[in-house]
Amino acid sequence: MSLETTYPAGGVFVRSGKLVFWLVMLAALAAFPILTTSAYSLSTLTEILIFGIFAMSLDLLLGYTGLISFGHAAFFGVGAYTAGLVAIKIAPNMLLTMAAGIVVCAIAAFVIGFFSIRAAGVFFLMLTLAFSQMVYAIAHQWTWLTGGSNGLAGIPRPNLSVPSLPIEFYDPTKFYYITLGIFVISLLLLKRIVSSPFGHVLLGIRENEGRMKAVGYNTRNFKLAAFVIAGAFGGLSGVLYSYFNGFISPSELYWTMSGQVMVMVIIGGAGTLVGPVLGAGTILLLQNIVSSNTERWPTIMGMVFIFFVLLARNGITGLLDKVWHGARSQVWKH
Amino acid sequence: MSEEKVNKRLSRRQFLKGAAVVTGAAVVSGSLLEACAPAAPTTPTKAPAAPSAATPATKAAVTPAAEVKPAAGPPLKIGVLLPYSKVYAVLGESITNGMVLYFESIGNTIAGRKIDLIKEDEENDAQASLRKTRKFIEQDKVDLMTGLVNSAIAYAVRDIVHDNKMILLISNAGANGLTREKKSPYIFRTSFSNWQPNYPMGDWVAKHTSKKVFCSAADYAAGKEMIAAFKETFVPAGGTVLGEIYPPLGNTDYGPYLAKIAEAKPEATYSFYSGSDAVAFVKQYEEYGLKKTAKLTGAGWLVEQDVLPAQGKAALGAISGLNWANTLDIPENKKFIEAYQKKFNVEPNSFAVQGFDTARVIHEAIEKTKGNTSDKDALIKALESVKFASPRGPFEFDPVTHNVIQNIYVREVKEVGGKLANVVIDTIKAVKDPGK
Repeated sequence: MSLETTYPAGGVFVRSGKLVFWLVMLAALAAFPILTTSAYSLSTLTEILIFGIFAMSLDLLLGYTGLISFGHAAFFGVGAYTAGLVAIKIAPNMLLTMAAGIVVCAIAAFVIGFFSIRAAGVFFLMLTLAFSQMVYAIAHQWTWLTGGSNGLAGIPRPNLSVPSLPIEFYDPTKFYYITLGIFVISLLLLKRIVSSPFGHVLLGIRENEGRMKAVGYNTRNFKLAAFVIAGAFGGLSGVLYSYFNGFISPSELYWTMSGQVMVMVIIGGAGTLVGPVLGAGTILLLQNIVSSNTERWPTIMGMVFIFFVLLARNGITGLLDKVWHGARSQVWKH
Repeated sequence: MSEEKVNKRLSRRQFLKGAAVVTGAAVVSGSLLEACAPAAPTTPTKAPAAPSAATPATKAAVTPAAEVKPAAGPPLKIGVLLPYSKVYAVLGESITNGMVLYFESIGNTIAGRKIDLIKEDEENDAQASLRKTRKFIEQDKVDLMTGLVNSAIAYAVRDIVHDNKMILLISNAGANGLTREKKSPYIFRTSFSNWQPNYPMGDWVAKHTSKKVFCSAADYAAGKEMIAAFKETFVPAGGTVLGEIYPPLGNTDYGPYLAKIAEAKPEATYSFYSGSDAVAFVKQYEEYGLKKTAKLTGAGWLVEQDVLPAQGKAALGAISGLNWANTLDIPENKKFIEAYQKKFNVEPNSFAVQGFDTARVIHEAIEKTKGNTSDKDALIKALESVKFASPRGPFEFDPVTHNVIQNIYVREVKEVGGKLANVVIDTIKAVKDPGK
């Protein structure tokens, strides 16, 4: 694979160059609340980061393992509902709700994955879709628990009441920093996962599963593990989303949501982790700006998607890569 | 094989190490956060629109200050969140038309402030609507908000509206809870609660139509609330509910459900459907032959103006309850219908009336505060006291729940001058939602 898995001949120079780039990006994100006076752009960026985690988690399946899951919204929703219900019924403690959301999602991913990975290709896609629609139906019908079609409203804001660190999230700036922190941790963890030997096995499965089996890997276990990890991160983003909005409804579990996150991954560039984050940002910003100006916004979104699928297969990161390579072609030959 | 194992273990250790470092960093940054939080930018407070001396309730004593009325205050920004795409687009459009019609009639100015309608698409999507609500509050800094067709979305935005002390006038979403357990001092509803048109109908149907009724509604929260409200008075009036059935929202084939209804041999049915569901249900109800044996009754949207032309004669004779009827014989209504038809070249529906009244509520309240929208308490008081003769009859708010108190009209679909229309056959006066 390209940048993530192998280090080009440029070696240390290129690596440190990249490191500087990422640190600058991080510094820019960290400085954002100080630089902007617009609370709206801050909350938009918070939302982009949350959807960034969600899109990255799907990328682990779609981009790295080659599993086209069309039911990823299930984990987003289950995470959000779990966090919301725990916050309402037990305590709005951040650590508690987050842990509950992630654990429940991992279990759900294990169950869904256990059955789904037995099929491949379009059958896998249909199975994940079917499971996520089942989860949707549960959220929609189990009215006394989930609020039914009206959704679960009035989720209290989480707090972090560890005695030494009494942080409340009511302040959007604080919540932005917490989200940014969790986003960076997620990105690093996922990066670590995909560049580990485990991640290489996933890549191998994507490229040629039969061969990986022949070499002696039990690919089913690897796929299941990838599914559970992706589900857990998907759940994490759902948990954050429930904090962010204080509300969750069955539409966050609907298949259109699975489609939306898939579009984010594809537009951003599958198999790059950072790409899907850019994809999430692009989609959310476009949707916000375009829909404020015209009622025909779904048409415009559709055209953008067609552009990327037809003309820029590798998404935004693919386009950026071309530019980057062009600029550094002298230094960077391999 | 053994090499691979070593490799794996190593990676796990590295992995853990990495994780530990990251979590450590997170904790440190978390505590730093506390320190830098006060540096957060505070949102600039809105400049008072009118001279601050303009206290409410001094209407009688017209002070000289009031005479020096500012010719042009800052524009009055109204955030309108309504569906302009997808299934409810017609509702959004009708409500907007109603508002535009009223605002034009007053020269698009309230208390010297030019009206600036900022329209955003509800998209029938809670996520998107939450984003738009945040935009209204944080970026556009609107003076007040109105709209919301879908109850689920109204519930979704309720908390951020309440927390930000943003005045919101709901112009359609009917979920009872919005003005009951989830009520907020900042939220008013100009349309109806799901309870309102159905509660009086229970008693009415039991007394005038039949005591053996089968209930059906689209399977979502509103459908359930409507049928529940109907039963609240239907059963005490001696009625028997032979059965209830809830087909999914957006259904097209009602055959199996109608068969179930026919099996119970009811003398009447009471239903709630709207939009394309209402068209399909009413047409298939006739095709199935049920119309001959069981009288069709229901919540008003079942046979409202927007679906009646598509239903045609299948709707003839249907009895329904709603907060308005186009045949309502009062001068305000006639004037409204005429003006609406002239401007938009279509017949108004009950949603347009709700938009029209919402605009009027905004006008009257802000006139009362002399253009001041930054004193929320004064504005809430002004809104609570708004009272006028609407195209739907007397309009006023319940000061406790902020839900509208209005007449409910029992209507029957009849042919009037070659056209189908809902003719008012009975009026239940001043129906007030029981919220506390």
